[in-house]
Amino acid sequence: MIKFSRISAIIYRHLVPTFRDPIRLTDMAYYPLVDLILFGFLGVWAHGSQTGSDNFVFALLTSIACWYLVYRSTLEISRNLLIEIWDSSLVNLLATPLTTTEFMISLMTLGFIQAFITFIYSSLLILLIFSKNIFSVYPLIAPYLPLFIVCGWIIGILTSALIFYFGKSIEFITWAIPCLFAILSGSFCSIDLFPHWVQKIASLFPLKYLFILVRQAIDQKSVNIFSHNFFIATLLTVFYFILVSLFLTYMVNKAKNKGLNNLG
Amino acid sequence: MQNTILSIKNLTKVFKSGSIFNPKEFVAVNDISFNLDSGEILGLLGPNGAGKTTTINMLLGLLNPTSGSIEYFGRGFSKHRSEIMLDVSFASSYVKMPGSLTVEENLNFYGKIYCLETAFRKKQIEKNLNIFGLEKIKSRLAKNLSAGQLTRLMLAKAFLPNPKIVLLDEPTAALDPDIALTIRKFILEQRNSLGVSILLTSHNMSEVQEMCDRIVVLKDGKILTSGHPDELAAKVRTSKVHLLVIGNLDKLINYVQEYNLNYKLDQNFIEIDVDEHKIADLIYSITDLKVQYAQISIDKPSLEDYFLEISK
Repeated sequence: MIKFSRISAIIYRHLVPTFRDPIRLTDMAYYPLVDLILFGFLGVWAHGSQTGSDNFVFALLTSIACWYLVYRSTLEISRNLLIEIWDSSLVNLLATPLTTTEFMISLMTLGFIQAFITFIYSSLLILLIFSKNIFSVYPLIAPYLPLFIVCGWIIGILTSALIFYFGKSIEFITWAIPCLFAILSGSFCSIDLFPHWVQKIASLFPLKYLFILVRQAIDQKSVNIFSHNFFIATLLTVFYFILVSLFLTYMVNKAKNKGLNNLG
Repeated sequence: MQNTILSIKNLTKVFKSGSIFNPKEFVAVNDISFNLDSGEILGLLGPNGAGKTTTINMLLGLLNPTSGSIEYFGRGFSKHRSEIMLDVSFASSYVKMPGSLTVEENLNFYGKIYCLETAFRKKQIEKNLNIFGLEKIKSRLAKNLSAGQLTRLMLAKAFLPNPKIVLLDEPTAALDPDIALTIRKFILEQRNSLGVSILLTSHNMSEVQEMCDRIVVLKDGKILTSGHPDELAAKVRTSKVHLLVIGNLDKLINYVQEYNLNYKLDQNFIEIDVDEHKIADLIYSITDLKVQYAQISIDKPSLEDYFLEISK
């Protein structure tokens, strides 16, 4: 039976150090700033001026903010697992009543909290740097935001499953896999620009449809939750969430055959 | 009648490695069975690679057994792991605690993991901070603790939820002798007052001999023998006779060489290995040969001697 006490314990264990560690706070603040400046101004430059291509730049900046919902919810799962391994405290943790399900729910909750904070922070940065108020489009993109977070969880669970089995020797995937999905999701540019075979692969994942929906919402200034894209995005998100959850269970069990104590 | 609270039956762990074309198998634990009774302190001994850590890992659910069964409190471990682990805790000198949390935060964190109610958790944290001498360093980050302080924190964590069973892997390995003594006293007190059962691995033979009610000796993944520490030590029949000889040393050396006894000579100090039943004969002969000595002492076989014997 899932116990709230254990979930809150894991959240406490990771949130307390986050808010007193300047390196982790800088990490949270720095990368959204860099990406917004880099890709935001690249978009502005590519379209001649900031005022002449309002929707394009606005959609790009909103997409970057939405991408950070995905990225943060991914990272808080896989990186917090890695922190336990780096601290050599995972064995101690797994030698308690804590279940894998409770551990993952805790990490997903942390992902949600961090993603939410980063999204607000990115929106503020966009307002300060580009004078564009994406708070105004929150009601238009609100139905898609939970799906972005769940997509982040899916990538985080996938990465964690691999780390559970292969250990910290493949820790680079914590950052490499989200980067791959950043390309395949069309968050920074439209998928239509990619080679046909890449477009085919991208179509298998819900993020492509979600970013299309965000751009449509900004272009049309309306939200349509009965659209084909929303239906496919929701269906694929649910499908992949179930799939990676089963994959995690399988990989943890496989890892237990060779011993979780090898993880640290 | 003793009440068995942990029962291990025919436990086996085979590690597989190599490729599909050249598969390799290594039997780390081979068909072992033993019980832990309520209030008992059981030592798990054996040379490196004997299968102690593999067994502990299976008892914690960190490693899947290849075959066999583990039952805690009469319930199957694989099916009821989470509920069972509320009453089972673990401490090892070889794993760490979250380094970015303070000593007190770590105990609070683990108190929540064991679902302790707030008031009880606070009381237990305060009690264990005092018992394990952590009160003065409760605000220090765990990553800044010395090895001994970390071990004390680990033990404070292990005894926090008032467990029924504690699995201790080398609990006093990194401790100063005085702290190790305090910890041993505490563990014995927990057993005597609360009936906590303890499964202990240690390389400190005198500690094992002092604390354990029973020992299971593993070698090459199998149980070699089990019994009371003194019974096992008694299986080694060779005692050591130490003498500081001040006259007729050459006669004594001739005697031990004649009877093929092992001996070590360091100036006038001689150490002779002799069967327990023949100590009297040796002393009679020493007198008969008019060997003069200023000191004599006899070391009875210890658990360490037994351990060295089986490790050969």
